[in-house]
Amino acid sequence: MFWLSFISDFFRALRSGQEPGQVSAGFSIGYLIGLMPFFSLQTVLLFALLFLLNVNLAAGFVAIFIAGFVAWLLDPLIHSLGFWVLVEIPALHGLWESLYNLPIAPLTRFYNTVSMGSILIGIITVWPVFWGMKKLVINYRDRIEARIKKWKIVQAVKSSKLYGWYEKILRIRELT
Amino acid sequence: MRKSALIFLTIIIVVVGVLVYFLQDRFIERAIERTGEAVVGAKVEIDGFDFSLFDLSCSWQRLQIANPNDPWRNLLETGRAAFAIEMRPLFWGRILIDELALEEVRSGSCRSTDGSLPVAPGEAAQPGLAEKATRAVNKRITELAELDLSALARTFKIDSLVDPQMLNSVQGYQEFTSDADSTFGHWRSQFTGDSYQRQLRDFEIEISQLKPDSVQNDVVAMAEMVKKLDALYQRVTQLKQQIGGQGQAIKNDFQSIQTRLSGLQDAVQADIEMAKRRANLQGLEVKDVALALFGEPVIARIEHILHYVGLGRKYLPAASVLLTSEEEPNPPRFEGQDIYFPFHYRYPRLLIRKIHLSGMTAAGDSTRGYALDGQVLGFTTEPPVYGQPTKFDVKFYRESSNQYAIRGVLDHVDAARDSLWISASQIRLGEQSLPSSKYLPASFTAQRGSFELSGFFAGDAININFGFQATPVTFRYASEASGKIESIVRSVLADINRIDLTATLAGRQGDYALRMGSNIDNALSNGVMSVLDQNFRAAQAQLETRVRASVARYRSEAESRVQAFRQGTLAEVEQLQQRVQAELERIEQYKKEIENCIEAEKKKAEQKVADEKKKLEEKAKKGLEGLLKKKKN
Repeated sequence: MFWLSFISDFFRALRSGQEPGQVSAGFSIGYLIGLMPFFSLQTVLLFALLFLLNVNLAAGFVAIFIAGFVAWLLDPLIHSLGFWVLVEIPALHGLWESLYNLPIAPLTRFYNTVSMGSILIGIITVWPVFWGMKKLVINYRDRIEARIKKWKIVQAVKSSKLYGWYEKILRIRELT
Repeated sequence: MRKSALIFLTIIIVVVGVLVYFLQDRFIERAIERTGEAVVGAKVEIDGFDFSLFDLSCSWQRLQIANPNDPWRNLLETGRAAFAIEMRPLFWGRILIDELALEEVRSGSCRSTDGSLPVAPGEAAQPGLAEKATRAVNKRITELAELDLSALARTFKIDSLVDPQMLNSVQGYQEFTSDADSTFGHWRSQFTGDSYQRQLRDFEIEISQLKPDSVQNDVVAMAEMVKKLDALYQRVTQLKQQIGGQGQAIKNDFQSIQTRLSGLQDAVQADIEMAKRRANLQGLEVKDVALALFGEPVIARIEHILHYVGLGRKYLPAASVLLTSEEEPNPPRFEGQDIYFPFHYRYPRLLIRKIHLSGMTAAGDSTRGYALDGQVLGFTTEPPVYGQPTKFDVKFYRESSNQYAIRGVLDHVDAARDSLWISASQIRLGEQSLPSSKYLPASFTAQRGSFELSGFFAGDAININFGFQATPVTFRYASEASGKIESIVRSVLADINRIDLTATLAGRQGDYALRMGSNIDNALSNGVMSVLDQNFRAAQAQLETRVRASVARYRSEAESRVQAFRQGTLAEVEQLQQRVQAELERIEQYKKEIENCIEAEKKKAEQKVADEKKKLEEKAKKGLEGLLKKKKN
């Protein structure tokens, strides 16, 4: 129920309400959180950002779910990338050793292959994700929503009693 | 920035903080208990645990560690303890405690609950140091035949015990005689002594015909004779080499045959021992008595110590163990693999630099209770990281009474090297039961005793020395003496009022040997033997004589073969070698004489030339002077 509520909020945010930048920023932060395999320092900071900044929370939570699933699927690839960066590039060993000996840095668990792979994939892909999401929201609002509304199945659902009740409940919740 | 989010986060932080505040103690307490239980193999319980996140301090009101061998008693129980955790290492997940004081330490206190852990089915563990050593020593004790002294009083039918044809030494002498015949026969046929004798005789005649006196003053004849002598010398030398080559081969074979003959003496001795065993006349083996009496109790104690050494090895792994365990399997999905980089700080995962132990049993009553005092330095789960060995020194004593002291160094910085010293003095012994035996006591009672143990463990090498003294002792037997021997054994032991026992367990790589000795061994050996000497020794002597007599005929036959060869072929070889050498010396002497004569003739000729030269010079001089005078005039 908790997740359904977030998905519903997410689709509502796609339609209207917050700016497309806010929705895609929330989605991007959630995407970064979802990629991380462990509860580490950067996860805490990203959660803080998600809550404190005026970004779309629902988009963030949906992104956590989607990115978590994608990261689970790509785990062997992420592990290999992390292993390559941590072990197979001797030029970087000095950097990792210095970080390993700093008091705070180990809390990020950068020395874990999956963690390092996720950080790298996150850094590389966060901007395309942000940009893509923003474009998606704009396009959705301009073109896609109107088309979807014309779909017979959508009209059938909207004309059903159940949907009527759902809308009533939403209105009541907004008023309260 | 969202105000509502700030409030939400604050609420979450507060809720988490409250939960941590109330649950952290229970969580950490359970974590410590589980770790302790894994190490000890019995329940570990902490009461009143408190952890303060603000000043990183820990304390507990009571710690109980159950005895795995007696779960209704505690191996260790302590009162309140408080200590601080260093903050900086926590960033790397390491726990460092500078000083931990454990007060009111008690041992053997009763428990209100069962301290045993449920038995979990697990993989069969690899045998450790303790298991290997115990197995080896127990095997030795199991192999030890039950001490049977009944043979001491028995009369024997020697003829039935010794069958000459069954004796290994008789068979050995027969085989030897056959082999010696074959070897000597071979050399008698191969060694052409007659031919050498003939050649040598020809040489002697030839040399005798050469008379250096006959050619004196004739240099040419003398030179001719030297040439003849040189040629002769070469031929005799050739003969010497031929005789020497064959002679050496004969001597080598003879030497090996003699060695084999000497070795047969051991076979005779082995036959005697075998016959004695058949008749149960082995006598009292000193080491067997010590092992039979004290083997099991001593091993039980050493096993206990080895168990704890094994635990130390397991939970304080040495560098070699850590290095071999570094190979990681493929990581589970979404967990990855941790890559460990060089860590610049000597922070092991757990380090307690110093642990103070102090306590007193019997509610502090120093007349009845034991006082405990000691310290442990450098207790760590990663000795190679800490770089220093773990040391401990603990005393357990009662005022003007018994005292225990345990000192040790567990050096696991590189390979595992452990040293342990345990001593106990003035301990009250009471009645101590001994393994059951028909002749030996079932138990002994002693007022006081003391023991000391030093153990050195390097890798899988063990060297443990154990000493035990008890006095005054009285022995108790399972039943009344029913025979002469039992009465004698008891009268011997009745004179002993002290036990002095020494034991050594040493070895490596699963090959461990236990040696034990005690004053009882010697007393029994001497006392029983002296009393029962006549029958026992006479039987022994009879057996020995009988075996030796059975062997004697075969032995003398073999020796006569060897003697005949020595006096025949071997003597001939030696005689020929001496004669050849004598002829060579004779030739050399002749040659020397002639060379001296040649030298003398040479000198004479040179003198003559010099005189003639002088005369001619004077004559020429006078001639010239005469010519000069004529010119002047």
